[in-house]
Amino acid sequence: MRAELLKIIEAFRADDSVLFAVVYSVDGTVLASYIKSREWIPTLEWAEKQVEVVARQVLEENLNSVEFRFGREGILIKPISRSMLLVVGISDAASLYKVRIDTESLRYD
Amino acid sequence: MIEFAYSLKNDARRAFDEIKSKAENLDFKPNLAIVYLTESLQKDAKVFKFNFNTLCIPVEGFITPEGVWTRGCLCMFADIEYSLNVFKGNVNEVVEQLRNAEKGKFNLLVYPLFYVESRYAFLGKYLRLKITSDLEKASKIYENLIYPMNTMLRPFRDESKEAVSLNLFPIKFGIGKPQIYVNGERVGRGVVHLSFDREFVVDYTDFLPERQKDIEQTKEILKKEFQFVEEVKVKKSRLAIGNIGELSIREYLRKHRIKMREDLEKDIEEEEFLGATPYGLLFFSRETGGVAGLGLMDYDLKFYPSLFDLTLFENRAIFFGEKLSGGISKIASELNKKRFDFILFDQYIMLMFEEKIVDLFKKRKKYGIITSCPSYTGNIERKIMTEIENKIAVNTFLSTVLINF
Repeated sequence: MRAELLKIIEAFRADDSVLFAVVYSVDGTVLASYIKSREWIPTLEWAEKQVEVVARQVLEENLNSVEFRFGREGILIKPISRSMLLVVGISDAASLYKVRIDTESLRYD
Repeated sequence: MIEFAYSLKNDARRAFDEIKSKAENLDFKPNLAIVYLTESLQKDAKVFKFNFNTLCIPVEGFITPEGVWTRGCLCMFADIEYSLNVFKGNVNEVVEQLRNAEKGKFNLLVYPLFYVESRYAFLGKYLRLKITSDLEKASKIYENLIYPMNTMLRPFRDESKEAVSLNLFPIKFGIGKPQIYVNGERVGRGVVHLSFDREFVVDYTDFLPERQKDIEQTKEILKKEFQFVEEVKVKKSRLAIGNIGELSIREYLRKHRIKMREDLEKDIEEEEFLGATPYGLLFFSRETGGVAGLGLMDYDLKFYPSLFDLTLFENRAIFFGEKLSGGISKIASELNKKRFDFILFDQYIMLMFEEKIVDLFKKRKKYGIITSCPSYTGNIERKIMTEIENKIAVNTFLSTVLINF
């Protein structure tokens, strides 16, 4: 299982417009993570706070995804199974529809 | 003389009345109208007919000094010396007609890049592609569906005439789309050639660095621009791709955990076909060392179509993921360096950056359209990355043309 999750994260490592990619369980536990550099840690911490709030809503209300957009960066939160969420941070060099397709491709069910 | 008028109305009759009333107040008497219609108006394009030549072109959106719009229409009125011709047939026939045509100092070509007339025609070609096991035969089948971007510009390049092509390929693709109208009549699968008896200052850009003399050096540059996945061997003919590293396109994309769409027939019928993908192959031209990208979709096709003639390209290509190094700021910075009155802006940049493109044009106070893969032949002074044949620049994403009147 962990190897499979690491494979998911690995796919984002090749795209340098991805700032971080983290798989969380619904209770907020980090299951696998990739972070491009330390400078994105505060953003990731912010995202973690949102995960706690958003996770239940996303899973209970069957939301496809939740996006936060800032001036230059963006964060996409997407369930990849009934018990896990993928959180991806992107820079302004990212192709938005590519990120959506990439994360959609990673769904387990 | 050239002037613009636009309407944001989604009702064709009301939109036409609005631009017509503006036409009546022009300081000159126009003899040509080019109407760029967004999706909501395209089905009623025949309504847009003035008492002088009217060409209706489907687009994804348009740009005005007041903003960027994906509803309504933009109309360019001109009083200008020109000729308008429509050529029909498969690619070889059309190119022959273009060779024989009288060309102006500046030429505009408008055609559907990929066109299927009817459901019956689609199923017929789809089945023939399934039955055949020959790559060359598959390419011949695609010749009846595709007007390859580079091939279409050769008649102009060979006579040293400047030309811009609008290779129409809607984001929401379907049977009988895109539809061009001339004076209220459907063109179907055909090429509209507008030949102007005056010069325009035209600038083509692909927002990429210049190519190098050596392909390996160019690859190093491109590695910084895109998400480079791997170098692959491609089995290809003129307009068809057989496999990538012995795998079908679908198998290859699945190997990289990329999953987009499942059922081609259903998507085409229900107009759910998304004419865009963020993954593709970068092909390297043997003639110039230039590069053109071809998007890959994961439909289950034995032979995958190419939107440009692949004959002049290396058999090795780069499988890449779309991103743009420098992001929207890079596009803004490049546009800021240029002067233009009218812009043909790539629709895939809109998909990549969505609402952020609005800011690009806010202070420019210019007009333009958001369209698919405009291509160019003419004076190319820089070592443009996507100059894939001598004086022919083509790409399926990022390409943008700036025109000064």
